[in-house]
Amino acid sequence: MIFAKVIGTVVSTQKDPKLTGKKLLLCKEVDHSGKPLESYHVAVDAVQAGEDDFVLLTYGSAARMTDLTKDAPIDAVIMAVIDDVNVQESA
Amino acid sequence: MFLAIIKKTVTATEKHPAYRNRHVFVVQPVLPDGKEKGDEWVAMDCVGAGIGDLVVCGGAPGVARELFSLELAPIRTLIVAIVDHIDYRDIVTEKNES
Amino acid sequence: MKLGRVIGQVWAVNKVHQLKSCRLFVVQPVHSDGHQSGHPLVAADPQNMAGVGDRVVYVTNTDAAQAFDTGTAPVNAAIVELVDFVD
Repeated sequence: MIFAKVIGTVVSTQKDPKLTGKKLLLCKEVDHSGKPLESYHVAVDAVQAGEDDFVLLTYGSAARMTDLTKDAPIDAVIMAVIDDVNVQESA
Repeated sequence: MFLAIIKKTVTATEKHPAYRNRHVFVVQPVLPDGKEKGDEWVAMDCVGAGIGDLVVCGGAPGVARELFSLELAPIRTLIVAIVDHIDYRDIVTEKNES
Repeated sequence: MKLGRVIGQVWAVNKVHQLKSCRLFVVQPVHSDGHQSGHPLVAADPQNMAGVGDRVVYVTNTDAAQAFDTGTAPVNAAIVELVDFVD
């Protein structure tokens, strides 16, 4: 899983039938403190995330292991909206 | 998944059975603002996309096998959606979060 | 499988149902001698055994979902052992 921030919505009418009704969100990868990194990801939203939300994104074949994304041709899913992260850097 | 622009069509006569009657394109990954980034990929269409379209590409081991109900599917990257438009606001500056 | 140290916890109320009763941790990969190796990652703790500061064994990729009783969960890493010692 990686940390990401939702920065927008990708709107598409012509898509694979298994993606119908699923929201595609544009995300930017961030670190655990919320600092933006380089990469962008388009991910299916499984938890009603919204713009500016700090989220956890699962990638690869594991992304199809939610009820929403089962058997869908996708490789990234937002599976949690993060409330807080505590990290002890020196631990 | 990632955003990409469809650049070229790949035409082949000799192909793996899983590739029969399917369109394969050269796609160039782009940033949300349309700037090209990174190396191009070859992707299989499953939505009726064409040259110049902005698309969402993705796929993971096993996806194509399930999608096309094939026993063997040596297919990794799929074009899964054609983008109408993107509403977004990029974040570039470091945010000081406590 | 790899060795890691739990360095933080991720708090999320809104998450997919497979993860409802499962905590999420930030894990720093470490060598057996304790040195850090590579970047921290997020791992689920399906058996609820770890806490911050613990040394653990985690699995990644397709094997991670196998750590859940149901065998399916949308995760890329899961904690499978709480390490007592390595010698």
